Amino acid sequence: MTDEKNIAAKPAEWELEQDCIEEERFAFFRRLCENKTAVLGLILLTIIVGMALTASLWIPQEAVTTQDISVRFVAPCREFLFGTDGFGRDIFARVVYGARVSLFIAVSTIAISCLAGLVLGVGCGYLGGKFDAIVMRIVDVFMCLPPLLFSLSIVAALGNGMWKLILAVSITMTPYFTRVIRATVMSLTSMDYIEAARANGATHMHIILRHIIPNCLGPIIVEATINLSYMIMLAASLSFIGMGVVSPTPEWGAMLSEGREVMLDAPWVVLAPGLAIVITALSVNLLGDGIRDALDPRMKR
Amino acid sequence: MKKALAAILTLAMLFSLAACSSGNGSADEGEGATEPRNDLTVILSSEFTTLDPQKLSANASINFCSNIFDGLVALDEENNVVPMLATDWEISPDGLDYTFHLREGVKFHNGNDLTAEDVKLSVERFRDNEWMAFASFAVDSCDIVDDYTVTIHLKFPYGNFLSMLWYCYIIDSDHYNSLSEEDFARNPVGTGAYQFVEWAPAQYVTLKANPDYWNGAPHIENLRFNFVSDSNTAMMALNTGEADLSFGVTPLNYKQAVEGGKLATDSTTGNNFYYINFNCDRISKEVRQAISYAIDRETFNVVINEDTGYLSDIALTEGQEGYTTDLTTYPYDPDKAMELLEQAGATDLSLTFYYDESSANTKMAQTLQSQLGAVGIELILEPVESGTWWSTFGNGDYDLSRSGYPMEAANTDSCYYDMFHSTGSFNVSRINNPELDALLDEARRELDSEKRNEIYIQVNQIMAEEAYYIPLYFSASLLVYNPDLQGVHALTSQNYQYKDMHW
Repeated sequence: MTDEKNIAAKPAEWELEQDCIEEERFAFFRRLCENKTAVLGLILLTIIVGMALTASLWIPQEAVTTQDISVRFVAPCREFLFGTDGFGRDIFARVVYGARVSLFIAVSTIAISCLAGLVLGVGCGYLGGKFDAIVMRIVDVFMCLPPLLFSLSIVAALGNGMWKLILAVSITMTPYFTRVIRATVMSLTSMDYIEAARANGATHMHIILRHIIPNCLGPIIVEATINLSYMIMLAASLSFIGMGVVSPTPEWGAMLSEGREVMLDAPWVVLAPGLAIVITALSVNLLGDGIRDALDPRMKR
Repeated sequence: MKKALAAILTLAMLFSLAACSSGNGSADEGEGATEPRNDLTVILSSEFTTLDPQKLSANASINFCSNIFDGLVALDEENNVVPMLATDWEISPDGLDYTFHLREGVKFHNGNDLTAEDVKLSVERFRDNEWMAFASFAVDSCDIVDDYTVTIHLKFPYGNFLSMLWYCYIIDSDHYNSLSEEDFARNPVGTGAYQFVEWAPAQYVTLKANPDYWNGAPHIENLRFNFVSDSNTAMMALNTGEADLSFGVTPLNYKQAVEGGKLATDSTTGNNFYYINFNCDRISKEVRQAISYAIDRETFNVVINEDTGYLSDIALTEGQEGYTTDLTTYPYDPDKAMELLEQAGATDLSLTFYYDESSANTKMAQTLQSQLGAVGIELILEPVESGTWWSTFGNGDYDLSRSGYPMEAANTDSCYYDMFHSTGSFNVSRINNPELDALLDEARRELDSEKRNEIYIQVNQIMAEEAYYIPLYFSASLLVYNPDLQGVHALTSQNYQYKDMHW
């Protein structure tokens, strides 16, 4: 009898649950779309990402590195949309291909530091005790160092190269994610439904994977998008001072640095990568703010 | 509302600042028109670490110090050895002993007389300090004959000795003995045309005229040297009249100054020779020759020097010992390069290029990468900071690198031995050729200039044939200055004497 009841009840419950989730998702997108600046950010970012991904279809890869000293410092024109630099390279091609590099660095550093932060943060927040104390003291030490200086010293120790840059920036950012995730996990562990799950005999692994991590996702997404623009700028700053991405890979920060000395004579050499950094960081920021507002339960109407 | 107000205020402040600075500039010009100025502000692009004349590590500080100190001899603009603190000298028949007669009545800035004691101390410090080994390697000892006569004994007869002796500035022995090494390095006292006043590290050095200078008092009373490493900032200072002279601007800024027409400019061949060097331990002769054909030096000169440099097949200028045009050259020919690479069985090469990070070197690296890419060689760039660069040279962990060497105007030996002898301290190509070593050793001890010339021609021919390095160019010596300043023109050595300048 009880079995029958359960079987009968389950589909209805399940449907209700699904509806709730769907409604929740729908509400998130609705709130996001109501936010005009977030939509603007989303559109800009889509265009940038689209251009970066399809670059090889409409700009030949060679255009990025082909040097021709007969066309040095040509001002923007029909042939060279953003002009050319001191080597006679097409800046437009370099900026577009540079978007791949910048976005790849930003997204992968966020992914790596999120993952590392998640492991450490959940560990600290859920286990507490000595593990928490030790990890958090290390995190505190790391956070005392200015991010640029810290990643600079890691790059200096590891040497140049894109993967080393990604690793350096990821290490720098991990403490920030660990902090946020730990705080979220700590507030979650005292929730009634976790107590209930525990009382039902759920394993720690089950609780973490099914109850804690899914409920952490909101703050993680917010933290990730907001930090994404910071990653773009941090990577550009490191390349600007000559640490990180090595030629001939076009990187916006390195392009800025190369154009710096001709800033007055040929402003387009710095203008194009500079604007690219600003617009990309801005669009990510707008979108990030929008997502934060949309996910914030207090903003619900 | 508040924000708008703040923005307006900020703008207003900026404008008033701009107005103030231009106001100051015109006031200066007005003064200059009525009575001649007696001060001069020079921009130095690098800071010194010491003003101890026997520990100077860079050309810039050696040249700077020639205004505070005098040597026994000096080089004139035609690179002849001329008397300074020594009025004349005798050389023993075996070429080992040089006896110098000192100028009498010369006083140091602190009032002490110049005597043989001071020269002995200076020569001994010159000999003992590692930094000066490039110039002092032949010195064995120094004896005082009387108060105004000294004899310098050499380890071996060295024909070029006098042309390197100007590097030995004479210091006051009493002053030296009364101070610790550290204080001595910060308080230079010499016999030169200017005396030291103040040194604010990383900011400026000031000097004032020595009215009792034995060779005539300088025209300009006060000298100020500002350290400005960024060329754009230096140009701005020159344009606003904050500074009057700079010989360290980039070729690009120089071009702007020429086109701008507001500032006076002058240029001549510089003495810094730039080349791309192979690690000869790793790269075979055939591949070196092939790569040499793949290099278009013209492009390097345009990209790095805005076409101001002087292309050269050889690390010498016309008139120097060993200068010749009769040697193997490698004109730009990428097809031939690829053919040679194939013959050498070196297709799909991947090489590393080590360089110390700077704007010019980054340009060089990217140009090289592109040109080698065109003949199918992948070049991996390894930019490092200069300390690492030096240690990498030591352990030889590179395929290619780049270097610049300040060539001596009147001495082929010291540079060639340093750069190309297997024991040379700047043998960055890691050359180890017994034949070459024997020739360089022979030339070093050869007293006859004509014979030395022949040996160095042979040396140059061997090196060109072996393609140990890819010669690029001599950089230009560029000078940008206030058009009211007189008695100034660009010098190859950049050893500017402010004593001769006037308004």
